Amino acid sequence: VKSIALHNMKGGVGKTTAAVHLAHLSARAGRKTLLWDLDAQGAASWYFRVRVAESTELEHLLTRPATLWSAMRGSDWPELDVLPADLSLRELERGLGREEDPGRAFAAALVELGQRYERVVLDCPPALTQLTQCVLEAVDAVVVPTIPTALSLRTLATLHGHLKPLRKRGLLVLPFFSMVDERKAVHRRVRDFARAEGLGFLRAEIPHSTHVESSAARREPLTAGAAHPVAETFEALAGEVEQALSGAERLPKLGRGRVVELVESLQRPRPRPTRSEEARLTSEPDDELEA
Amino acid sequence: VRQSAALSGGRRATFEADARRGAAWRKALAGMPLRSEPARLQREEVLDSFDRRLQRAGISLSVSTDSVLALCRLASDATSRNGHRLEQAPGQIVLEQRPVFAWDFPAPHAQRLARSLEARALDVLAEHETSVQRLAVLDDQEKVVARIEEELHSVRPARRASGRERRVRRIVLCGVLGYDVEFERVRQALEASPALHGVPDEPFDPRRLLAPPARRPGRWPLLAPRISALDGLARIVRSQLAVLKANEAGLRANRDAEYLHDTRVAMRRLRSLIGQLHGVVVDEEREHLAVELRWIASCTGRPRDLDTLLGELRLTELELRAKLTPVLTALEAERARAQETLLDALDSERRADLLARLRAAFGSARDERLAGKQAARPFAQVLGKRLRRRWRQVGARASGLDATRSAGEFHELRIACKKLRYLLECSRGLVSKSQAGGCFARLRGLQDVLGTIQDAEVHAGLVDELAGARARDAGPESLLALGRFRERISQRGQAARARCRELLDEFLAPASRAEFDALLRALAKGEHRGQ
Repeated sequence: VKSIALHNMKGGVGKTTAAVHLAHLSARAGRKTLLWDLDAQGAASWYFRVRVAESTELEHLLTRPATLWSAMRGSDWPELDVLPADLSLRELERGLGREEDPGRAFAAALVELGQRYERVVLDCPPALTQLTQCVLEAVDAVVVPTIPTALSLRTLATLHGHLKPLRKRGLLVLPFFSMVDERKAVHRRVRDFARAEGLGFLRAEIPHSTHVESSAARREPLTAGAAHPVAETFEALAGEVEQALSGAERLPKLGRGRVVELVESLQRPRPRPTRSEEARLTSEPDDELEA
Repeated sequence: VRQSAALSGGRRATFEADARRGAAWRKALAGMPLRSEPARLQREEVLDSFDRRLQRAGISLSVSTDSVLALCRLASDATSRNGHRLEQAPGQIVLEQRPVFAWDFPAPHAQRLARSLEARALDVLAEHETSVQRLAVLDDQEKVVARIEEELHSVRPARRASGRERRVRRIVLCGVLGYDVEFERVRQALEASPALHGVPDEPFDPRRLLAPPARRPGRWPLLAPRISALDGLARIVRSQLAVLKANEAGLRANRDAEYLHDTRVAMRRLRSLIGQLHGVVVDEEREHLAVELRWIASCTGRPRDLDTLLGELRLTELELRAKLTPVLTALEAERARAQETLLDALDSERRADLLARLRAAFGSARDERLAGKQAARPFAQVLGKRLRRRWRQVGARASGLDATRSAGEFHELRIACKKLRYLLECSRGLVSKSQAGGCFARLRGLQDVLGTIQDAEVHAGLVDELAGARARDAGPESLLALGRFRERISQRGQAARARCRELLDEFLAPASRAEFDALLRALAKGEHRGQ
């Protein structure tokens, strides 16, 4: 089994959307896949219309295999199951707190899941809790949705520093640009800088799109319907994640110093735009950095 | 099916409904929130040999008719009788055209199919049309908690003799992981419906709606314990003449190699039994029939050798087979020439005379003047005497035979074993199955190994005679490939020789001898009745 955590300490960066689509695409490729919702908001569970059963004893989820297996719910898509979450997830945190070695308990649960699943996609909460730490210690890769802004990059650099010991043990850290708005100059500049400097971002970029929001409203992954350009970006993302998991491509390292350099460069005055750029940017919305 | 299994969380229940009562079963779902999902229609042709070899082996094979390519579905059930199970889930195999023989499939399917089908050709038995309507059972979140597939199967036999068009409506309930309570609720509702009845959850086999295959002619006759030698032999001869007749059209058309094989077995049986059971018909007639049967059998020898060699070449892996294409072409041309010679023999007056004389000696209106001195003696007694002598002969030929001996010695032993086997077959019905079973099994195992040794010799000879020159002309790649193939034949022959001694020791062991003696005693008593 290969496990992938979708994590970012910042909230609202598209973790759940990416987790849902990566899980759906993995299942669509014929791999038996589990989407494990670890966010008490239960957004991924809601996406797939599943709820935590009243009888589920989340406190014992990691220590009793029977409890773990009985908590699974089949989704409406072949090969894809969901381990749902809601506010009761704090029971899981509580149970974890009582473990002598919480990291090992979580890793053992992932091994147990490997009996049935080829991929486990974990949708983490937007914080660095004990549960998140256990996840990061146990998974093969952490996929980090990052909005192309200076603040997000700073958060990413902090996370990267935090994960240094785990990276040395083989954890793959795979950041990608999420919610990219081409109309925003700062999004373009941050993205272009990251590409030029080889900061290790995956090539796929998920655009800021109303289609993504409407798919959430319909509670159906975009990749489940007809071909669509946004769905194709998720497909490209899934392809790159799989490639990284198979070890086919060695990813460059994202250094904290280089991110600081980027943030500083963003503070320098922007070059005067050309006429054609000026025309294109007339309708540019408020930009958070400039603001 | 794979999709259903993936969605079901493993829980399934299958029902059948009367196809004429339409959708009456749907009343069982009244009040449940349902959503229709896209329907699909699938058309396929059901393939099997005319004698349903695949069905007997628990294998189903169909080819989709919705595509330019031949999309074959191959599946096996859990209760395959010959123990050669294929994968449980149906596998789809894409071919350029509809397959006719096992070797039209890629490896390893070709080898697996060949175990059941041998060289028998595949026929279209029926057209099978399936329309599937899927219904999703929803909860208050509009989440799918169970799925129902309504399958309407329509099976039209390709030949009228196999029956008329028949339909079956099947309802398959598939559970969703984690929704067991909902699954049970729907299952109970369906079970309570008077329009449905539960059936085992197995893939639908359209062949069950077809008439069973016609009984194969030439079934072994049921001999009475006290039947006279002439009557007993006559009934066996008539059954083998029926086999010859049943296979003649296929043999002439060369539809597949099994017609020739079955014909040869029947001929050998006739020749062996008539030749061995001295005194049942007058000696002059017996000797004449034996000579003529040897002649007709010799006419079938070369085409059969070529068939087995071609079969082996066609079942080699794709890469080797591609390089041996010129050799295959040359052998196929030689096989066509051998067929011409065989047809001449079949059309000859000599053969017509042979069949007439067989009917005169053993037909229902036979010429009593041809009865020999032993004709009136009990069949079992005459048979027992010959069996004892033949057993001794096999023992004599087998003693001291090891892997280093000449091919001729192994061949002589093989012939002696065949004669013993044909005699043993005559004890069918005269002794119980348990009394004869052990002897048969040991002899069959020994014959298989001796057959492999002989085939290796014959094939190596044919390769040297026919294929070598053609491969040299075709270039070094073909020549090297032929060398590999020749080496493989030779290795197989060597391995069989090494195994042969082991089987011979088992066959000649005191326990085996004791079992054989018990069989002879049972034959002499003549108390057993029935098959």
